[in-house]
Amino acid sequence: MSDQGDTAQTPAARTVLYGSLAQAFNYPDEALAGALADGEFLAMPADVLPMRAIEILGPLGVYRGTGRKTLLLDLERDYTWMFFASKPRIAYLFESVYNEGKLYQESTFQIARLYHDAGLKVEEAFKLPPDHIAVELEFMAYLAFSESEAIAKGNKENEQYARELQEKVLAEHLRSFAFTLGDHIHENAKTDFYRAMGEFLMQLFRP
Amino acid sequence: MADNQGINRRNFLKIIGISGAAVSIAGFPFRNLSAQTPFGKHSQEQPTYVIKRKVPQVCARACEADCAYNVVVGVDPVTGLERALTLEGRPEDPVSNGKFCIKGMAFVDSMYDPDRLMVSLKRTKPRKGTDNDPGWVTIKTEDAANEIIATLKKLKAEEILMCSPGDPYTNKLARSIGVTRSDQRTECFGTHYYINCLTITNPPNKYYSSTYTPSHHVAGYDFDNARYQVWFGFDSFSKCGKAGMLNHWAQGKKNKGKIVMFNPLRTPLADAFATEYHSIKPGTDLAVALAMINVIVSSGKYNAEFLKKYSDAPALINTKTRMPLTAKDGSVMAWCSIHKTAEPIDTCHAPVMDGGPYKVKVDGKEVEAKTVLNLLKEGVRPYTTQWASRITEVPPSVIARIAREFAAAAPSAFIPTYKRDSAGPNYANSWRLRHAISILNTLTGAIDHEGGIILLHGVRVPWLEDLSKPVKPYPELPKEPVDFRNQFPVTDDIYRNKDFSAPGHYGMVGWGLYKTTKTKAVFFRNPHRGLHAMIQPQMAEAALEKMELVVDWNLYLDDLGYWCDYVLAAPHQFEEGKFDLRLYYPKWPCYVGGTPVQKSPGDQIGWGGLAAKIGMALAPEYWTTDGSTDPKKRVPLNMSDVAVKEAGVAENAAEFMKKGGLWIDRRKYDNYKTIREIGYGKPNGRVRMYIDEFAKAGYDSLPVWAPRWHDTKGDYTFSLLITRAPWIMHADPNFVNNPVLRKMTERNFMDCVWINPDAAKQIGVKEGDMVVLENNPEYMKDLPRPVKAKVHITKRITRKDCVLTFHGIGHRARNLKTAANWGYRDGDLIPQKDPAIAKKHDPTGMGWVEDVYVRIRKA
Amino acid sequence: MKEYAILLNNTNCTACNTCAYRCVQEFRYHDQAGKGLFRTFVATNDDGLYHKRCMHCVDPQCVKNCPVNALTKSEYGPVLYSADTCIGCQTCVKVCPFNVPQFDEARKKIVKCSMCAQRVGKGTQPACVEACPTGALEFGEYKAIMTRAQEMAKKGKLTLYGDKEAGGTHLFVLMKGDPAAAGYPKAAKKEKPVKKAAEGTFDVPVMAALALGGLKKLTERKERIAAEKEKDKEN
Repeated sequence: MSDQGDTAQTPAARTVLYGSLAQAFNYPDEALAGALADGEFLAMPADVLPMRAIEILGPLGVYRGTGRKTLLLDLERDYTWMFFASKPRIAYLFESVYNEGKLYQESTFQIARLYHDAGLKVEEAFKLPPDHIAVELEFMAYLAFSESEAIAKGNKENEQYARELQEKVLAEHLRSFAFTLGDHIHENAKTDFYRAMGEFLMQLFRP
Repeated sequence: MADNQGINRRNFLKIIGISGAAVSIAGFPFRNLSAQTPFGKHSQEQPTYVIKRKVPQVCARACEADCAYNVVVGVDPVTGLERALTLEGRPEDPVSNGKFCIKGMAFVDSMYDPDRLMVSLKRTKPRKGTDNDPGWVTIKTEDAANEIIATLKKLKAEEILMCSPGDPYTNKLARSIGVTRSDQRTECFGTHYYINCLTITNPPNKYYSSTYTPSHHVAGYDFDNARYQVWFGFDSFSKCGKAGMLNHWAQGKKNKGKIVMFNPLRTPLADAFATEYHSIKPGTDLAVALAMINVIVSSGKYNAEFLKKYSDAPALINTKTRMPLTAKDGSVMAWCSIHKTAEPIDTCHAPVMDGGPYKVKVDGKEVEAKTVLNLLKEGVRPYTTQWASRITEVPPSVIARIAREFAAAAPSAFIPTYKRDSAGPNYANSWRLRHAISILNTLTGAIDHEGGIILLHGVRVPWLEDLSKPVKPYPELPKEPVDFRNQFPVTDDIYRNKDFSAPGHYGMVGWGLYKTTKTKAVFFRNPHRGLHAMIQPQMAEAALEKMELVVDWNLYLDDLGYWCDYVLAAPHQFEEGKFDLRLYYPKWPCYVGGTPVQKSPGDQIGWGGLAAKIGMALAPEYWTTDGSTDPKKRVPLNMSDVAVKEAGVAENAAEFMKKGGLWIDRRKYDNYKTIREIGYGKPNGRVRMYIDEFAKAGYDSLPVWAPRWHDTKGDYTFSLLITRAPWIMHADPNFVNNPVLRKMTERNFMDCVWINPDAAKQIGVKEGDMVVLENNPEYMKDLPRPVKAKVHITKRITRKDCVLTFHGIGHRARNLKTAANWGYRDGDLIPQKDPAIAKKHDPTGMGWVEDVYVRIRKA
Repeated sequence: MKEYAILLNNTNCTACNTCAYRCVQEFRYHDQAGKGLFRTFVATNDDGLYHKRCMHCVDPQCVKNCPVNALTKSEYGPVLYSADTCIGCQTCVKVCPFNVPQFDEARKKIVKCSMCAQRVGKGTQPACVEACPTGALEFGEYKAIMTRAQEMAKKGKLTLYGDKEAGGTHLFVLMKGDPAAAGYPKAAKKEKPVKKAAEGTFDVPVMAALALGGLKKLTERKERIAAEKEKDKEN
């Protein structure tokens, strides 16, 4: 992967990285609070993490051993406030709002087509627009995972295809909005966790 | 970890926190995506987006016309993802005639408003108000509903207030729990609705339907074929944009119909459709109407045949008790000129309308009685055109000529009213004006006649209670409701006993919540305008801070959210099915339906489902067919299925929609048939001019002059006029949170207050200056909130003594990207009504929103 | 190819701006409109209503002066604009006698009505005309519309704007009173230029399917312009 800048260097590491970020941008749940309290969130060797990751993730150490219930409530409040209730709205979770100002616009359709191209569809239970950042990150995790599997199986064609799609998602989607989203979160979040996640987005998706 | 073999499904799951059960179902280790095909390049079609669907819909929240149209939907054939693009007309719809308006189109775009609420919210920090952090967390809508139910269960019925229009679900819910339902529509429709009921539509009549419409008014206007109309402020700016009406007015103009408009504001509607326009002193339209009645009745230019056969003009009224004389069977008596005695009006051979007084024996005693027409004549005698001219500043010759022309054009001559902009504008004397209007429409015989006022006929949509009759009577409603409606016996009787969907007293709810401690929970079924529809919302705001439970069911987190414990996510109006009558233009029996355009993107709950859920939990005996608590026995909710089946239109609503969702029976309008079916008196219904319920309650049974409830004082000289930009509906974020509409509003200066150039000179303000509008503290004692706004100086305001404000802007919900803190809020200037004062002046106690004088000073 | 025009009877207009919003949805330019850049817009002024929209001049100055042929006059009426060709020099903004073209600073492009060429090509009316709730807008064959406008002006004692202004236009505006008082620019009246007999046909732009994304493009514009020049040379 030559063109993924500051991201983790191996497909396996990218899978974990994007998967964890996807988890961070879904509505917080007990698993997330647990991972933070246990110090397991993005607990990867420094050499496979993107640049500045250790520095950015440093403040998450405060969550080690904290009460999960209180932590979860704090996360829920912060998430709901930022993405659904802040006045004015801190950040929107959907790509098209950044690109076209509204939900379900051209970028929504384009990313949905990429999911389709990779043989995926958005779960029925997921009722929000498909250009939700958590889904796009999850998609990246899947592509990295597929790349990793293709390498393991020696399937060059799939390996190449997985890389192409990752590059496309980065170039045409995540870089177009995730930096701004991250910036707004980093600036405004009330919790260390989301502040860090905002900075992480900025680091990964600098246009 | 650098080794890609290190990634396996188990690690994956652990890392991203997915349970094994979820995986076994999804067959894929991620959360929101699932694999359809193995990963790899495969041949892919890449066709372009296509217009695949045109979805029939009916506008239900933007105005009273309820146009039918198609929503044009583009589909990506690869992913199946869809998006609505615009509207397309349905020429077969008698209301819209193939047209639609800007608000209808804005609804298309608001489905994709980034600020729409896609999840339900729960407050986790107790302090309410604009400056406190609610600590919102996201909650599953189902869980939120359960928690709300648990809290409601702990409260007494009289401690709960439902703020909602009277749709069938709300009605059943409120009645089954026994709580007061008060209504956002009151200040707009209240006066019109009740006077219409009391003079013509007599609820619950056989066409009285459950379809959600703004007013259940049953009566529409044949604008296309009218020969002469008089509009008292009917041409508000909001009407400039109502396509469902505009197309009819354009047709009327083609047919050479004349329209006379009275308004201190000259709108583009007047420019386009008025044959003559007269500037009038605000709040004095009643004087013109009374003088018109005087001209017509004193010269005998009324439609005598209609009056005799279809109205109460010959009815005898006891001059002492002011009550009608009635036979033992309850029928009204008339004086027979042949038999020289009082006889039941329908069997009387030769009822007189004039002369008298007549001496009539009642229970052996002789009483004096006069006919309604005679009482009317005597009553309006002082109201000469000269008298009216002094009050209104309209020349007497103009009033006299208009009255004569109006009468000469009978029966295709009427005065239209729907709501505030007509049954007034909205003053303490507007109930009298609305009554006078009804009388004028009766004098020409326009009621239930082609070219006049056309009545709904031949169709009906049942109520939930018609589908499944409650096994026992509903519980008593609170005796002393927080909106004080019990202090208004005439309207309260209609609400409690005849039409529970009738508007409540929203203009006093704020007063009641603030001044009493009766209420502990308020449930807003907020069609996007709860607090904004409220005059002087500051009173309600202060009161809501102390409530145990405040809930809002809403498409947006609007400024009501500052006080809510829960905000439940509601679907967009295009995400719901519809079934409607053509109430606004009921010339032909017609049903029209709408299909959901898309699934709601998120965790929303429809109102019917939510109401039924709460009802089943709190009052299951009324929500089951057998009075049990068995959820399998829940009452049917399929009103539209029953309607189309009964009409023989289709087997059920689904089949009806398959057939196109519009059925119309273009039969010839049968003049004066429906009034026989629905009017006052059985078996031959009539229009009433004399409202004896008013006499019984100590009010005037026929309209007499009354000025506004208070006069100008000191610097408080500017009469407040209210209108709306044609593309804005209250403060509905569907419109005010739309950047295109905001720009249009600004470009047309409709985010300013408008004053006349001479007035501007007098107070020394220039175009674009910021000014402050203030109430006289004598008339707004609690929580005054002056309004700061930009001035637009315009000759369209044709008098120096008024200021025009635009309703619907001034949102305080800062999370709404476009609407937040834009413009001013007119409602802050309109006092909540003290019931003690309101009932002195007005038996309906509704409206009054323009009955305000303000001071204007440079900011 | 027929030549088309629009008749705007201002005496039936109520400034509802349904035309304006329908136009925004037709071309999906919500972003620009949100900044006030409308292709058509009705302003409520004291002495009448002003529709700010391209008049589609018979002899358009914008076309004459555009250095890159981004603006072209079609034989069938509309003045067409190619955003792809436009270099954002704003010459058209300066020379238009009706002050119509607006410059979008963000995109460095012009915002202007095309008389819905893509709909006309399909045989449907412009979106604004179709949507107008009062029938204030009519669309039809140029000569018929012109005659109708002139007759209506005479019969109703109305002012006709657009017939003689700037040498004539393809938008005829009927109104009571003085157009300038209502907001219309005072464009000098000139005789219509004598038209060259059209050689061959000039295709209506091919309709691009109403796509979900972006603005529809008029296809093969550059080629057409080149072909037209070739034809002129041959003539």
